[in-house]
Amino acid sequence: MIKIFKFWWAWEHEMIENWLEEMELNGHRLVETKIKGLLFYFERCNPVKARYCIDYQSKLTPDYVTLLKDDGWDLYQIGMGWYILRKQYEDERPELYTDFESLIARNKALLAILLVATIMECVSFGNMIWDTYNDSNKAMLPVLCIMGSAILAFFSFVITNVVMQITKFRKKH
Amino acid sequence: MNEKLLKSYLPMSETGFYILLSLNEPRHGYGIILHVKEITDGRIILGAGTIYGTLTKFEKDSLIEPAGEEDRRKLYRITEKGKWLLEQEMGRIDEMYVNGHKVLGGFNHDQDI
Repeated sequence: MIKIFKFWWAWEHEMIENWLEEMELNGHRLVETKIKGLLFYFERCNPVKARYCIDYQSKLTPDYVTLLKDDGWDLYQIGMGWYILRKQYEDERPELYTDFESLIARNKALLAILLVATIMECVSFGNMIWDTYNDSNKAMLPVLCIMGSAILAFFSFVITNVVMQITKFRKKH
Repeated sequence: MNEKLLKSYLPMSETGFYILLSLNEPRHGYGIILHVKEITDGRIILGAGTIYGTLTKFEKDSLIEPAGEEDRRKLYRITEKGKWLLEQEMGRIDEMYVNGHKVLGGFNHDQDI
């Protein structure tokens, strides 16, 4: 078993998909992932062509699982709604999404969740900062402010990237 | 209500058109992939992710409805609203076809319509 740690952002999924495909061409098949898809476990296999796709589903329904199984995809769980799908192929490289409309819809669903998370972050940090501010001991105030800003900056960065990807799909569409 | 449907769905993508058309008979997701591949002679091979997303959206807009189960797979069929939308789209395509041939000329295809 080979263990590889690889850091990636959600919008870099194509890079991971191509990398997994290359690994399998070199005789390493994905067995599972850990730490939310950052740690990859591979086992030796006969080199074959296999397409990997990374997907996001807010809810994993039996309909989704059955349809993908019917169409020949294996499913790996990453966590937090993310999945890796694998399909072996001979000639034409299979795609999970064959139209830009559904790619845009998928990214919009992701965007909605990110926006809710950002608002929740603002509310909870705002509360914490307000409480500390009213407290006699204000020692934690700078730390909280810096942490809050850092997390907010991170969310803005992620949201910008998802919006940019939607724009890219729109242009192609 | 119908104005809203026309605005959001027309012109239809080939994907949407063929998925809706396939549900003239009750079919499950994978059945649609096979059917569309067959009637387009292998030209359109729909992705499973695309099918799943489109079916969810169509059901939400009542263009299709559940039609029972087969081997634990959910079957769908087109609704009256879905049929109406397909007709609107076909009218649009017919118009394009007739106008195209009028300009290019020399064809008799418009008599077929």
